[in-house]
Amino acid sequence: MSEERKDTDDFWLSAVRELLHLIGHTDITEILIERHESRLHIKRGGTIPLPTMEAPAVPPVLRASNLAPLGSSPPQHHLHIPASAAGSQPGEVPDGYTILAPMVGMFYESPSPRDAPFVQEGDEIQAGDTVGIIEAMKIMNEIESEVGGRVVRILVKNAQPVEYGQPLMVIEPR
Amino acid sequence: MPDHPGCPDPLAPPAILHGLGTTALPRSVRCYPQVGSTMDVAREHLQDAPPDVLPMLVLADEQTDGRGRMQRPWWDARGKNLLFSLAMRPLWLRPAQAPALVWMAGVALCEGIAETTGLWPRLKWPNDVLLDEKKVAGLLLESGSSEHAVTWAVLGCGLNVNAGPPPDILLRSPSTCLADILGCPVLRLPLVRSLLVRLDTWYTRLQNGEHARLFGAWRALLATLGQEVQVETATGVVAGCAEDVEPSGALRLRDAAGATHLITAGDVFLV
Repeated sequence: MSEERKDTDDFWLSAVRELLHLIGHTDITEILIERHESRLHIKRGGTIPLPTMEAPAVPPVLRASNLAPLGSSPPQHHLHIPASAAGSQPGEVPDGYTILAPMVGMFYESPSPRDAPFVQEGDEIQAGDTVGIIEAMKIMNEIESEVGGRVVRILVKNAQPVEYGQPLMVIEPR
Repeated sequence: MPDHPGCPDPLAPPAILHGLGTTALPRSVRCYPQVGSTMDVAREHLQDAPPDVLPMLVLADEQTDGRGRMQRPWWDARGKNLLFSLAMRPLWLRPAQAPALVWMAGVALCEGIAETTGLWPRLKWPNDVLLDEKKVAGLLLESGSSEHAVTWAVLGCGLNVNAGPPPDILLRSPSTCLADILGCPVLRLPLVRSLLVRLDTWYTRLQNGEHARLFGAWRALLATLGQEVQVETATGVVAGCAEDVEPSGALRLRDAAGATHLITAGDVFLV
């Protein structure tokens, strides 16, 4: 199985997935790997010019949010990020169950602009509750929490592009 | 836009299902004279429907609160058009693969219309059905997922069969109906039966892992590719040439400066 994936992974997709996973779990904001004439550059947020792609004279832009192929493996189930102190600082991700984006798309906090958000920080939720929507290609996919508990941190903004496996929010399980 | 009278073409489960010959869908059909939205009715059924009635087809002659993308209202004319939702629990599908359900619906709609009417529709990315460069049908998918599986999905479709929106309705894109193009009324029953057969075929293929085949069929129907377009996204407007689609289904657009943009959600307009 792994050999088969190696043979077909001409675009370093498995490496990109690994790096996205890494960047999503740490404070690292940018990773640049250069090997011979190849260059792989991943940065949290924004867009990255890739000068070695098909049009070197006019660098194209590749959005990291679209790197997950249709048949890619599901993201890690959840991650536990240890808190360094009892109370987390603003900008610091608190300990808990992290809900990851199961698909690439646009994150929405409510069913429509005129509706209230599904959840807000401090809310108590049940397992199966909807915590947001990711839209991609006219699919409005409601993200259901797999655990019940308290929403301690929302890591994405409304109408923000999200990447496959990107942390969306942290739940303190009951 | 003229309204095509006559055409007493009631839709009822026995007539829809009789001798249909499908294997995976629909397992049940519910027809209503009027509902708020077939999407809402289908979602209500999904809450307590036993597995043996799913996928379930919900049809209505009239919607009082039909909707499209971003809760935009969907216009319709009572008894003239096809308004339906298909409720399912495709637990075998990973969330990242959910776009395949939209491709499935777009391809099935084009094939069903072609088989029934002889017309050859194309798709505007990602899934508006066009005839003569005007919108004849719209699709919407609402779903729910855990991190690993699509736990439920409702596929909604509005197909303008015998009536298109009147001129006084302000639309974002030009629209039409099948009867206007053909110049005669169109029966809804053979159309919905043909659509179901096509949906069944592609749903079964998708279950069997034939994603690449479905992607190829969808991509081949995209009229957007090669066109200069403007895309309205939640974060702004992007203009350029729609070069191709990625395996994920995202639209690859190259702007005037040569930069490439990958679009996962937005409204596409020809420039």
